[in-house]
Amino acid sequence: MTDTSPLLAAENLVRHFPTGKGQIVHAVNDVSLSIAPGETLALVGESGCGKSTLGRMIMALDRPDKGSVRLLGKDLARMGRRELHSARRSVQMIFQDPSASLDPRWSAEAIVREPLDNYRIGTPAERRDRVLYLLEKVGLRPDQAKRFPHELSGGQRQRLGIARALATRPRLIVADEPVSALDVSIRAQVINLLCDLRDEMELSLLFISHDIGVVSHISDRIAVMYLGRIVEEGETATVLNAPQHPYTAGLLESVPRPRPSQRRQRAPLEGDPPSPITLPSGCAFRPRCPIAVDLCSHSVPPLAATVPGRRTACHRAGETTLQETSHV
Amino acid sequence: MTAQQPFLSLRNLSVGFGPQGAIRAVRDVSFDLEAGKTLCLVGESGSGKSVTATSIMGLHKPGSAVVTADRLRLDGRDLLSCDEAQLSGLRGSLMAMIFQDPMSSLNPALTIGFQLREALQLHEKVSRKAADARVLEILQWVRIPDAARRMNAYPHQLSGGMRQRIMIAMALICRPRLLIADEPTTALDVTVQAQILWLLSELQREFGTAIIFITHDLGVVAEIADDVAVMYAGTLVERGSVHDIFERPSHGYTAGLLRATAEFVPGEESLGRLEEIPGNVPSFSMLPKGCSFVDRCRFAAPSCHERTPDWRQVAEGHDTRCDQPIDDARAASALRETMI
Repeated sequence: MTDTSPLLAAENLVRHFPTGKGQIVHAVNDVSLSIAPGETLALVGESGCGKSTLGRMIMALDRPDKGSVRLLGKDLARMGRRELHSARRSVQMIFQDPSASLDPRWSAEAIVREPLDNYRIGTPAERRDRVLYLLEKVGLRPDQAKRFPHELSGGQRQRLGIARALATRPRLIVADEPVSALDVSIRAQVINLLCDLRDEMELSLLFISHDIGVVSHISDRIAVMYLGRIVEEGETATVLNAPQHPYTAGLLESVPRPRPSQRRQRAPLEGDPPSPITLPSGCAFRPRCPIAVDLCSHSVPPLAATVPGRRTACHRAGETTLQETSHV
Repeated sequence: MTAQQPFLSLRNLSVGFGPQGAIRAVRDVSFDLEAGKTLCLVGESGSGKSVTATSIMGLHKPGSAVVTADRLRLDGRDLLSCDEAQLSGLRGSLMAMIFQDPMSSLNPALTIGFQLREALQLHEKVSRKAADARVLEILQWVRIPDAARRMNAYPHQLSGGMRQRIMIAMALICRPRLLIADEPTTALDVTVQAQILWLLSELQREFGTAIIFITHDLGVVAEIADDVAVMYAGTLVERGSVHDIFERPSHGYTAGLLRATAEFVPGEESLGRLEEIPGNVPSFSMLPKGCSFVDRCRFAAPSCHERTPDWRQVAEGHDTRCDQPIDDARAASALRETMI
């Protein structure tokens, strides 16, 4: 294995759900992404843009209609049950709502131990030690090991979810909005914890979030999704400081900033995101786009490299007008 | 009283639930709000923001809450001495409230037009035709596209942002002078949130409505507030103008919240580590002795464990409930410590 090969590579993923009324929800439309070892990729977008569906396909919790997910070079869809079981050991997930993803009848200790039992990792004594080590790592006290989820605060529950995800020594963690249910004063604690553990254990992280502030702190690269497609991708600081896609620009401009002296003069983007059932023709962002031209209504812009390490799906990317619409 | 009375004035509002109101969810909250201004009530979940708001509106179930105050006056009326019938008359016409989830406040079986008309005709004697005209007008005010047709739509046929616009329309149709908005944009996407915030401030300019805006999002506060009141564990810890609170916070909790917020500022390098507020919010049954924030405060002195701090003025219109208010010199030295 060489260091340059991606840990995870998703290619041309498509996932559509039938609504039961003969309609189709276009959740994910032709998405490709890759994550290198030790890298944190943030998947950003508004509700319904397909970011969680994408995360679930990467976790092999859902099968793509088209396309492939390769973990350490191996296609998940071609794996048998046993092979998939052992592959899952290296990909673990942290969920948004810790109370919904922890069994209320299990103690903290039992919750963290379960993956170790499941994968038969170590002897019973070693498992016990590992559980205590993990609880300590995420900042839970030894006396909290016997507690049940309802006896812990929201922040402590999320720490427990992180300990469980780390139990099998995964290479990649998919974190789906892991701090958005937490209060601000607790959020910072959990973000710092995730960053520390990632650096210490050389983890890769797919961080799914709608919070630009959090993403700017935690990620190396960022992929912006809109209606099932990645519209822009690149190194975090470059994308956030000089967005090339008008949606990214509008999204960034919409984030309220804790600076009362820098108020916006108007809402940056008009309209609502269209429904993923009836997608507009051409570029899905066209109905809200301030710089759309005729071409945008009949051709879907491909996600193409604009500069090295940077991809944008916009017919007008690179034109000077686009730079002007982005904020300074 | 020499000066004119403020439009809304609260002094030592306390709210208790349970037997004899033993669980004191809100303790000694005092603030004023001028007509046509926006006050943001900021705090984390369980800090008592919503309970404070529902107490002003008189929305507690009869017998469920014990509300006491030295003063609770709105537009010259003593709300505490109003009976349910009087309050009911004031709700909608003088004061109105919108909530986080519009779907739970709208009736799914009735059209938008019907529900808006009902809200209007409850308070004003107007004909059906005149009511429809007013409904159409307010729908246009809240920027519902194709408003005439949308009057016949049902709530589920509208997007989340549109539904929140309908709620705003319903709250404002009788031109109340106070609007309480309880996390109205929390369930919305940021691009839609920006539209709603902009709409609210536009309507405020037009109608002169005073707004109490409840939120946990400091970015939203910076965007819309004139004044800010910060709540922690059921009580108010700091109040002042939005510039005072963001630029010169004097309470340890306010300062901690501001520094713990992950923000992205274009062109600025993001700091590697966020500053944490250690520990957890205490529950009402286990409040520490003295200041409620004492166990998490980096500036706490021994005396802070002894007594509950009184209000003290740090500047004109800027008060803090802290015996060791942060001054610039002390904040700077504390910041140096964290750098090392």
